[in-house]
Amino acid sequence: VSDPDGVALELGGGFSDDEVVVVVDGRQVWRGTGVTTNWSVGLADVIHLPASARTVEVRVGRSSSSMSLPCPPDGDGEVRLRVDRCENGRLRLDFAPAGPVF
Amino acid sequence: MTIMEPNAAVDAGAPDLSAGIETALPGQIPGQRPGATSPDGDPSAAPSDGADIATPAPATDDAITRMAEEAAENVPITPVPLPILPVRMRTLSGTYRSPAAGYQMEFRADVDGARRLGRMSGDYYSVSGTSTSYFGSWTVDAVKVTATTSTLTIVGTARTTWSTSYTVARVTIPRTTISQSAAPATVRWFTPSGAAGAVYTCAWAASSFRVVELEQDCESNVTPFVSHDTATLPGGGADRILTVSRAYAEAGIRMLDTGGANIVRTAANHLWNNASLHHAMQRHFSRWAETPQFKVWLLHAWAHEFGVGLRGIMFDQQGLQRQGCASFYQAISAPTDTNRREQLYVHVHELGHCFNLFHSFHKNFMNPPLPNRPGSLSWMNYPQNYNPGGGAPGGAAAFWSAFPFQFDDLELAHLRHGFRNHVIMGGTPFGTGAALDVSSEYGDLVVDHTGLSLHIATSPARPVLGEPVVLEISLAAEAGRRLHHLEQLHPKYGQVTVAVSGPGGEVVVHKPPLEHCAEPAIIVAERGEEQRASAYIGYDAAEGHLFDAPGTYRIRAAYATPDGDVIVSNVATVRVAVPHSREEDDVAELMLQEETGMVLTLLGTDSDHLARGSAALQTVLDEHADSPMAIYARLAEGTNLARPFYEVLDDGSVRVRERDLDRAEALLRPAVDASRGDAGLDDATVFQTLGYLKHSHAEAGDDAGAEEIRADVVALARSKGAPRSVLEALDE
Repeated sequence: VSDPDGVALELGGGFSDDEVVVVVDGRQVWRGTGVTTNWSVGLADVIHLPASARTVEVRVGRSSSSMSLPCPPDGDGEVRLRVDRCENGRLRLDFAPAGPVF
Repeated sequence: MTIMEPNAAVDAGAPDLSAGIETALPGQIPGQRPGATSPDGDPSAAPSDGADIATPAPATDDAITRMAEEAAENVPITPVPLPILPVRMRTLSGTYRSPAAGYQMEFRADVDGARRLGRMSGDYYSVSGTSTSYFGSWTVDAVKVTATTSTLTIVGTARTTWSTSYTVARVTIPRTTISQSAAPATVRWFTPSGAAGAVYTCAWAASSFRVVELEQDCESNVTPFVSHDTATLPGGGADRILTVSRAYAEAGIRMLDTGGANIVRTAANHLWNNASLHHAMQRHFSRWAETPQFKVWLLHAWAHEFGVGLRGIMFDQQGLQRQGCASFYQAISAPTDTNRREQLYVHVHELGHCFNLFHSFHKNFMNPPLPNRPGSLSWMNYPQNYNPGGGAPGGAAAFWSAFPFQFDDLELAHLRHGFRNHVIMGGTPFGTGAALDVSSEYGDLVVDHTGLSLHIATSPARPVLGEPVVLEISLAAEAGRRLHHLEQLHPKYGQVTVAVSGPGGEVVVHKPPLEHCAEPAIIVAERGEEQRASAYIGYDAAEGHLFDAPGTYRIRAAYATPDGDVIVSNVATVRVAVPHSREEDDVAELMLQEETGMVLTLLGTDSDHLARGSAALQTVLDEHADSPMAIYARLAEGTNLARPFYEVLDDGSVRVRERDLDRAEALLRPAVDASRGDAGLDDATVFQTLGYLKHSHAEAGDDAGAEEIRADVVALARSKGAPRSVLEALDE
């Protein structure tokens, strides 16, 4: 499942029974319903995206957030993104913080 | 069913449900049996170091009132040093338990010993017949402690999970030396104004505050953690060798490793996900059950599909949550001190989640929320997230250099003194710490020798907003047990009560809009006895519509048997979906009108007082006939037409609207036919509807029609596997 050269998108904190759509380079690549954060890891899911992804957009209801990825990617290995849903319902998409999760 | 309040004194006129509980008599010191000598009154009990000891006042009513008022003030704890004694005294902190009769109290004192918190707490268990169930919990956040050489007295005001005016607890524990047996704790309840309540004498049980069974299984390619010597790396706290059990023992939690570890064989490069972990838990956790219990499962696994960075997860968020967790060794398997430290940290951390602890930096997402504590040197922090503030160094290096391998004080208070269902595995959902829950409303059957089991499910299993929620009730009984006839399992007869916990955690004990008073219809169970009934529970006498918002609801029922036992059901979970179309939304609005709920409860009416509800159902029939919800409108309107309606007019005369069987059939037949398979109405409602129609035909003199319907419903019930009790009732 994990691609060391790919892009992983963490659906992070704040999701509660949400319908989430992930769009890569203008094409919907993933859609999930009932997306809910497991607060024991602060993650609802991890979505593996194509290594060629250049723009990533996440949509939940009327909220959306997008970001462009560097080309070529910075550093070696998997690019890891994270989207969190804030208390006001807005989405915050950025590179995932480093460090283990547990 | 009358449940007395456990903190109140036993009412002489009420049945004594609390055998073994002392009550204060007029003129008697509360808790003191006639003729007994008060340990507080021992004149030889002068404190050895005098000044710092609060001398107990004579135990008059005024003194008790004063003590209660002092406790009610909630002043910060002023620790009173215990007197220096020539002999080593027993530590009094730990668990005490009263006899298993009436209400049994498990009492926890936390006033001395390692990391004393100056708190006390307790749980009540209701012992009824041959069953024991959890009743409720109380906790005192700040106690006042006074001591003599002979007695320790603890006073404080309690928060409780149920409503009581007896909130002031005064606990006395005779002090004994380590060579003597531990003495019992006597817990006396008072109102804030000093009125005496119940008294419980609790025998010493354990020096820990809780006991948890830990079962550990291991994936075949993992070498599981054993222990970590904290002296091998720089850090905070005393040097010591820690196992998972030892780390919890330091928190006052006794982890009983149940042994019998399974090796979970997996394919090469196996990646776990949360579903497969849950499946593995159900398969390998020998003590797993869908019920709250202090039992937890830890899987030592290799890798999770979330990625190599995932060290552990409390994956159990289906059904009753927090019963299992897993640690992943993929990145920390090499036998180094750093890895052993991290393995220990992850294990204790994940198990902490099973106790309902959130991350130090996620406390604000709890229900109710708490301020985050990123500077906490706790098992529940992330070392890399450590931020002590004030410009002090943060991050992993700073964390490990200071981490004393412990929970922080607030976490410790939760572990030791949190309300039972907020702590116990399988209790309240993860993150719910204070809101009352269904499982709090109806305690878990801890001991059950009743020979009965109650199972509930909802119909439909996944309703859309506005769709009536029907509870299917199934009561199985061993041969010879006495139980109520299936008809009286409907909540309106009062034998079965139902609690519903809404998406926000609010709990409603369902009050049916109609209550039937009837002679109990008692049967004696035959071999394989099963009684089934169904009840529309969507509309409540006090709250109106209970399922009026999308989200997940949890439902639990309790049944009071003819012999005085109370058994509780499984927890049924039902998710009410958001309408997905404009039409579904329109129908939901009609179905959720206030009067519609009452009309559905009555299965239709001609009453002018409920005209808007009847009109709403008629609109569903007229304008949304193809909606799945139209079946309920047909059921209500058709049932109403199958019976006469009697209206008492202002002049006292009675106007009768006769039954209209043709129109009733035209509505009910399609509803029944649409439900002959798995869709439509629940089975019990279909059988009841046909039975009603049969009765109406017979009443109208159409015996042939009645017989045709009888044969149809019996054949249908047989084809659906209805139990004998249902077939017999239909065949009458």
